[in-house]
Amino acid sequence: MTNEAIIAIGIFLITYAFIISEKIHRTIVAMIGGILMVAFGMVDQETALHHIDFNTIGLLTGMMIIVSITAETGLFKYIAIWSAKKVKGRPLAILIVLSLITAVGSAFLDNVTTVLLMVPVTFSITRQLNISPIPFLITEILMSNIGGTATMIGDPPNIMIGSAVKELSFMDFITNLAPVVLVIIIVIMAIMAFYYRKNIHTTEEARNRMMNLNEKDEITDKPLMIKSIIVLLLTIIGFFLHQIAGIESATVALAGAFLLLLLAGEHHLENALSKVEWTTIFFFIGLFVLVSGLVETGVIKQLAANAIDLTGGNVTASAFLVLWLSAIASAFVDNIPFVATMIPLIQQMGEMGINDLNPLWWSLALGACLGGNGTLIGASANVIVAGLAGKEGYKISFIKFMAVGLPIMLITVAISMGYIYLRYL
Amino acid sequence: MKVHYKVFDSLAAIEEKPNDQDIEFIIETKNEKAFNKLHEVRKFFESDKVLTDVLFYTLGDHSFQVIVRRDSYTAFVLGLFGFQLIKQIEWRE
Repeated sequence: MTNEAIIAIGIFLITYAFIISEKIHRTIVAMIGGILMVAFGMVDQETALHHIDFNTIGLLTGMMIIVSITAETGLFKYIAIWSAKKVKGRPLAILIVLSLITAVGSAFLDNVTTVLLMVPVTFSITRQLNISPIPFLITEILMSNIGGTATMIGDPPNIMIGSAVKELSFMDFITNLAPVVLVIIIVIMAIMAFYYRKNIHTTEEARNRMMNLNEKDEITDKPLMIKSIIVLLLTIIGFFLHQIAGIESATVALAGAFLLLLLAGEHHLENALSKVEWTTIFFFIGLFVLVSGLVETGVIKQLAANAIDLTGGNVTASAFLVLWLSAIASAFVDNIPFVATMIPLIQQMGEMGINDLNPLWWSLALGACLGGNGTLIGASANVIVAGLAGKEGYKISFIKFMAVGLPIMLITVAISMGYIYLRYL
Repeated sequence: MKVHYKVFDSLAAIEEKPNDQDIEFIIETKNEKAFNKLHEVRKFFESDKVLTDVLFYTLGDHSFQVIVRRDSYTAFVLGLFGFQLIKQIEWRE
């Protein structure tokens, strides 16, 4: 191993340790890590810039703009209250409905945005029914991570994989991941409904109050809502067709975002751009440069060779290794830096003789996304919901969440393992 | 000391019902102007960083149910005063 490789590993491990410790904001740490890689000559600036995946950055930015404008219209509140009334205000049915909305929302919007939209509605509905919001919030967290696994734009690991592997289209993600995600949703929803069946009861009077709510008045800007829905649908259609049209997914998302800004009026511009999570965007940029240091110094190549030695180059063993390693790692550390490291490693394994990389890509996507359910710190959505709940006086502790989340994670990864084996191996 | 207030009768009718942890308001707005003012109050509380301090529910016919946490009672009444749905507010023994 060269001196450069040792220095690159040192910078990477120290950066990673600081990200895990959460003592300093992860974006600052990742950016400093990336800058150190360039400053110490592990990678030159020009090459580092080439390693930044601007498709991931553009896709995230575009979707954040679309969602921030759509959220202003009251659309999500309307859907939640309308659904709660459709199931006659029965708490268990509402738990299922809100969780399914979260899963579907997370499949097409990013998880953090989806839970940020769902949490206030959940507080509102559970308060009206006079029941604890905690079973609802925990189930929504789980469903957000599961639903986000189904599409290329649902969860950052999938966005990163979709961007890095040009052969995988938006449709490939749906046809390969959505079937297993659908099975997982049915199984986990049944488990959660059974688990919480005795905790969520309300009175006839509270249900009647729920039924008296007028969801139509929740829509605050109907013309903007119609424009937002049209643009959102066009953008999703664009994702389905992007490979046929020969354009990148970021182009689709950014086209949707700026078309909506054009239709909504420029007074939305400042606010929409301020709602983009620039900290997340810079976190990605820092990580891409950080990992580029490992790639350029040959560390990733060496790790891939070690992985092939370990599995004997066998695709089944490699896929299962990637699946479980991703799931366990993602339960305890941020899945974004983990996936940023795994992508070049899997690509390298392909160059070293593993011909069919598809089972490995789907294993990485399933492991990294579903692993987020294992602990409270496994995914950004978990941390955000727990933070909001705690602030409102409903504490979701690390242990309380893990008691539910870890078994659910193990079940979902076991289902994925069966699926990978039956479908690809 | 307790908060006492007088409503602009031409704009709204307000009923209060205290529960264990909250105070529930039923507010009927009597015209478009009052409806828009209450909408502004709602926007104010829904855009703050606390999610469960004041929860609004629309009941139709320009009426609203508002569930207010006890620790946010004064802030809510002041909000109604600020947007001129209440004409007088005072502390009384």
